Amino acid sequence: MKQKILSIDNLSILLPAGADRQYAVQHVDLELHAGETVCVVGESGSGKSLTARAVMGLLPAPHVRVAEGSIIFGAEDISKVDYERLRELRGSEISMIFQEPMTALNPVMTIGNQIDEIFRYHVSMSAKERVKKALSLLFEVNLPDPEKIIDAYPHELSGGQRQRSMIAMALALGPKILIADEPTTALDVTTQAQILQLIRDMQKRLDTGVLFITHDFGVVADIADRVVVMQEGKIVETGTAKQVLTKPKHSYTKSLIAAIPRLKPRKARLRASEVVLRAEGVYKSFGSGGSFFGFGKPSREVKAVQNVQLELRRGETLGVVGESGSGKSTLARCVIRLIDCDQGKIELGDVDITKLNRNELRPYRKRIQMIFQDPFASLNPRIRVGDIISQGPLLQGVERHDAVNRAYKLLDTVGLDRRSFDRFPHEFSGGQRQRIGIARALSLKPDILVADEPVSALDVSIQAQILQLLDEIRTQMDLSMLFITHDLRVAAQVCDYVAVMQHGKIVEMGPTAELFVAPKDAYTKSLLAAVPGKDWHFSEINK
Amino acid sequence: MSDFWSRYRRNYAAVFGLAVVVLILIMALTASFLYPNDPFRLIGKPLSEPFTNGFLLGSDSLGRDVASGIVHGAKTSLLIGFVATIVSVFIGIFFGAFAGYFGGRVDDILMRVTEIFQTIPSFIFAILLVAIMKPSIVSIVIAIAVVSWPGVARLVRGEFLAIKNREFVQACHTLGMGDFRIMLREILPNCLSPIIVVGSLMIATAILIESGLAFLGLGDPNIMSWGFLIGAGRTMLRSAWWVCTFPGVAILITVLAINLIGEGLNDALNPRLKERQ
Repeated sequence: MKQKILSIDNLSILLPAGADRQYAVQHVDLELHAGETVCVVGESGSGKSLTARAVMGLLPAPHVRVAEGSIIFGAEDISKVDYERLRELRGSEISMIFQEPMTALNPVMTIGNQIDEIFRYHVSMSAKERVKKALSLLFEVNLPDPEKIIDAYPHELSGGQRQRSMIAMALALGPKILIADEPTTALDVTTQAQILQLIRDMQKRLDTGVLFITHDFGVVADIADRVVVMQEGKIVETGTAKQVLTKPKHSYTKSLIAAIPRLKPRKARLRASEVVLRAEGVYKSFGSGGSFFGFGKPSREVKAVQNVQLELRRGETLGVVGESGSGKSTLARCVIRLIDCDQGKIELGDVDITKLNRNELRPYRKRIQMIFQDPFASLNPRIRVGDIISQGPLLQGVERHDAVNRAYKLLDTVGLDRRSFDRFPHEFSGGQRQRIGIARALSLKPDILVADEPVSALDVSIQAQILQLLDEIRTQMDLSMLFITHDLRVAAQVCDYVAVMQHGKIVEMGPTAELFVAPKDAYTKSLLAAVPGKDWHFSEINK
Repeated sequence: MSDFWSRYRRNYAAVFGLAVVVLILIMALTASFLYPNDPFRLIGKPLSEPFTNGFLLGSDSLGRDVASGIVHGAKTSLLIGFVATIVSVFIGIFFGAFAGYFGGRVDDILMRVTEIFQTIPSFIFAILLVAIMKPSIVSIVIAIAVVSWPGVARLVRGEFLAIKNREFVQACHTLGMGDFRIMLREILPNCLSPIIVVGSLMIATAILIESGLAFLGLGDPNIMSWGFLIGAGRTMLRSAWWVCTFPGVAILITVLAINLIGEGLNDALNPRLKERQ
């Protein structure tokens, strides 16, 4: 084994009084060797990010601080060194990349200037040398046309390019340790695969030790040498990637791994003949800016949805997958008429709802309902759960008494306590809120559910529960579902049919089982190839 | 509610402000009990210094009691402050809500109107309005409301713009809820906190505008107010300092106290802002 570069011993981090627990992180031991990648895995609130930040000295002091233990780097304990020494170490010996490169980069400075800063503060070089070094760095992280990018501002780059620039900055001085805090979570799956590859390449070249924070076991499978699993501030299991992924010992690790959606398409079910929803030739584009009093032409036009055809039959789940900006959410909102499409037909049964005005539309509203992505934004914080669920039926003319009864029954259906009726949304966790959102969608007894990324904001174990709930409800109520997701693994689990979208168009559509096994379109192939952890056969564990 | 109070209580200055305003309110409500005489009545020797001739705070050039004027004037100042603010907050919510919610051309038209009001210097505009309408308590309230609603409208518009695209509002659309119900029941309750904060600060501004108008002789001539007292005493500032000074101090204390309350409300209603410091 190579030289040990970082060792965290018995680290405890204190939370301010009044937090939900006393310590964010308790008795954590962790070692990192040169050239090694250690993945710290855990769900939200597990303390994985704070552990990483403690190494950088980036804890939000004075409320959150190291209470006990040491972080030994080289010969010194960096949890105790003064601010000046810490500043010397940061960037040159230990550096960090963040989840959201847009907020981690300064929006009013060019990329070149931001890289330049690192050299100016840490080493003495002439201006010319610094520019040359910056260019070569941008070249090393495989950015196209470094001469142009060095003068670009962060908003002019794509998410992937920004993250590459961040990596260039982080590795500028050849640090011994790179801390990566969910660096690919905000990126599309194909970009994620490229960034992971880049981190691996750079690591090999510079012999850096990488401390990689993630919640995604697929990423762990792709990149980790060793794995540390954290739960509620404590390490529950450590081991080599192979050990942990194939023979997990701790029950929590087992449940986490069991909850990962597999890229194994579900078996196709018999297709019903009744078409409940049909979209034909749907177009939608957005214009932006440049008008005075609404006169004049919008200056820029984005074609979000182009010529989309879909058919959803009774009882089936049709997945729409694609990366960000592919138009999948716009399509969902067109289908449910949250936005009006420019052209095309959307038929519910045999009625084209695009032509109806608001009053004519109202009776059709109850046939198609939506589940939203963000459980924290999708419930009005000022309205009680019971009212949230029962207001739909009340609006549709159901008697109050019946609406309330229906709401109680729906709480049972989605697995919430009946006492939730009188509570406010902020008293619930993310998963519970998503259940409330589902209950609201079901309150009008719809035929069709449009689910827009319903699980992407949730932890993996909660995700599995919600997916299972949706599946049960679908069978129970004979619902059809339009399921929007960016995650192919989720799509494989829940969808009978899948449509792949790119740049507003559907590039390929077919039964999940066929499409995942033998994709025809090049884009579909690249999406499937980029799914993290696809080569790994996770141990099949029964919960 | 108890949660709100415990956060408000943490700001001592705000608690002090609240206590002061409550005192002034009690003073205003018991005015005719403390000084049963009409404050306009001439009851003693003109220009008596404080603590002489039975005057607590002295008398003015006609022999009217300054202390009585302050106590009775408090009623006017507070009343105008509250009523004018409530009127302007309603106008502001109306404009802001429609502009923010409907957007597009509705927004363009309503915001251009708002901007027209914002470009006219507010105090001069208020003078103009009162001069046109003939000074009375109603015209003063209208003038103050007309010059101070644009700020509220902009604030409410911004809040509506941010909230109308939240998913819970979209969910209401899919349930078939009407626009007015969404604006009133779903969005408005979520932007009440900043409106309350701005409203509380507007009361202080309204009191200042009212005093200014009365100082210039545009107050209601039949009603005692602090501005009227200052206006009446300003020519004798060097010979009889007390006539102007005490009502001036009353305005200062009231406006300061209301501002402290506004700040306290801000901390208590937006706890996250406070913690970020």
